[in-house]
Amino acid sequence: MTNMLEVRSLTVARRQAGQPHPRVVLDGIDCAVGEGEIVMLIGPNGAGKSTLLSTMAGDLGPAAGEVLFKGRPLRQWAAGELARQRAVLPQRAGLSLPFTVDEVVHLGCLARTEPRRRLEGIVRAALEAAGVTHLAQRPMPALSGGEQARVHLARVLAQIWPGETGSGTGRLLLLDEPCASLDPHHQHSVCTAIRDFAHRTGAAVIVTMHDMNLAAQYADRIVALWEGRVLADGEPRAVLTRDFVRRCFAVDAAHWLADEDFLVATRPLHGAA
Amino acid sequence: MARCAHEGGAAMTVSRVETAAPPSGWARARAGRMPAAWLFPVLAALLVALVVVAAGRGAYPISASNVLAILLHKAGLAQGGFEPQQMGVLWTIRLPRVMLGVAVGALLGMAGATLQGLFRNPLADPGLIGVSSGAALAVALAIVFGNLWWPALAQAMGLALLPVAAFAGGVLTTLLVYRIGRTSLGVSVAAMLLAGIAMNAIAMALIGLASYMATDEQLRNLTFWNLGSLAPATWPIVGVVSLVGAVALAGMWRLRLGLNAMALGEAEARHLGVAVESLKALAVVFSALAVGMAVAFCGIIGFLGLVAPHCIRLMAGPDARVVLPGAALLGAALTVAADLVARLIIAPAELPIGVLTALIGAPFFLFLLLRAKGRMFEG
Repeated sequence: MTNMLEVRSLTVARRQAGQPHPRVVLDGIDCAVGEGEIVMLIGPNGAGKSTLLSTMAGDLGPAAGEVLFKGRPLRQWAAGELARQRAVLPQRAGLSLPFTVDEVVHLGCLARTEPRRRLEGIVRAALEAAGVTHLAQRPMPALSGGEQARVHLARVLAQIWPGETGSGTGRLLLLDEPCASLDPHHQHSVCTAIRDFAHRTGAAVIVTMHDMNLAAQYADRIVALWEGRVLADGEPRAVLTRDFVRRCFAVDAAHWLADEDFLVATRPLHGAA
Repeated sequence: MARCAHEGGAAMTVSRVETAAPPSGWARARAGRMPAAWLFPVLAALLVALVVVAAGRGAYPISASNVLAILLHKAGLAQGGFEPQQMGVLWTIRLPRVMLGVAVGALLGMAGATLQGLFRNPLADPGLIGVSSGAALAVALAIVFGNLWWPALAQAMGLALLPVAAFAGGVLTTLLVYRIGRTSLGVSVAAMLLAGIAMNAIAMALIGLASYMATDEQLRNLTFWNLGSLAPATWPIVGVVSLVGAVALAGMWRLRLGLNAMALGEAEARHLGVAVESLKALAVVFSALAVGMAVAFCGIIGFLGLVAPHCIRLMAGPDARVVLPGAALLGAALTVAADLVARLIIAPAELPIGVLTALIGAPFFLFLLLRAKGRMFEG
């Protein structure tokens, strides 16, 4: 399997208010994601999940190490070329003007080269995949937070949806907490949409995820961060052991299998003693 | 948000009930959007009608049919149907003034829309955020000190001195306000408006200071900038404003897709393939060029850049491909209408047009501010 995105001995430092020296947030990170693979980044608050995703997206520059997209350093990619093969969903997407859902998803197609009529089909397919077809004509400010999150997912899917643009394979999707504001039903429908997209298009997907249970069910591989380092990297069942969860998250975990699905539930540590 | 309810039966069916929050004011207003195919002909017709009416009305009235007859005569398409004196008044006094109004209104309208896209904030206006006063200050300094310190250069630049000064002043002020108001989430309304207040105060103080050093003739020139007027219109001025203005309008029009993407945020626009840094630089340059041209020849005409794009958004939605040209057309129409009222309301004297646009625009701005208050601190 070829690596779509590869991160080599990445170190990131962030300047913080009132501190004379920048604090090292990520320290020597190595990880990679291959075609059609879903990697979920987990870890406690402040472990550096979002920082790692921002650095992978090119929003933050590394202090040391490098980020390679298809073997080429991220900095060497032209903005338009990158936009046709890679999409990024931020944790909180703002919108300063009251566009409709349909218009927002069209914004995702900015770098696409298809004629207008073909774009309509792509937008419809992306709306369908994110389960927001029924909202297409609604203005964004009138939607709930969860609905808006799903519309932005449709937007990034439309950006790299298979078509004439960036033909062939080689797509990358970076998602920062796509399930954070969703109810359980939509958490699963969004994760399913992401998995279907990855398997159908061969896109590599990197997702930051708080919910260990969702990561256990939908990730091909889990990369666990702890204080800016990679604590574990492997298949969900191998990584999310009771010992590991205790060490990484300071909670007690229970596992069970339901129809081959791997489920994880947690409770406070002292309750387990 | 969706609510899930388990219904009876072996197969677990999930029925989802969409209980959407009641639409906000913005949302309601957008329910019936006017298609662009309708909007532009309507606005263009309105503008042409206003031009014909404004060219005819005044201390020496000319009927609309005579105005058209004179225009057709000038175009070489028809002969006669009017008196020679009418042609003199129309051609040397009225028409340059009306056409300057069209050009300046279009520039201010589109510059407002561009600045709102750049600042990611629909309340930005060249007057409110100090771009106009920055340009006016540069013009005042050029008038007073240009002749004092470097008369040779001032002479050599001639008609170009004031636009160049206004453009430089506009660019510097926009950059300054942008730097002050910018946060990681966009430009904060509060910081942007406060920076604008400070810029306005500084500019007015320095213009006041310059006026003490000005000769009598310079002083007359200076005072009129505070309030704005289309009175100095001549064909050469209309020519300069139109030519340079066309460059500014074309430059802003080219930014339309990038400005749309900017609504999502700077990082998001970059991820969508927009060259954000160059987009921002071009938006600053072209909007300052537009505002600079308007201020250099007509002084500060406030609130057009706020009112025109806003009305277009209410009518046809926020897409920059519609808002940019729509704001230009509506800005032109509003300016011609405001100038007409300014000339007629206390005839034979006339009001400065800036007084009128402020009287209408400032309450409109307060209304928008009240509605946006809940979102003030979200960036």
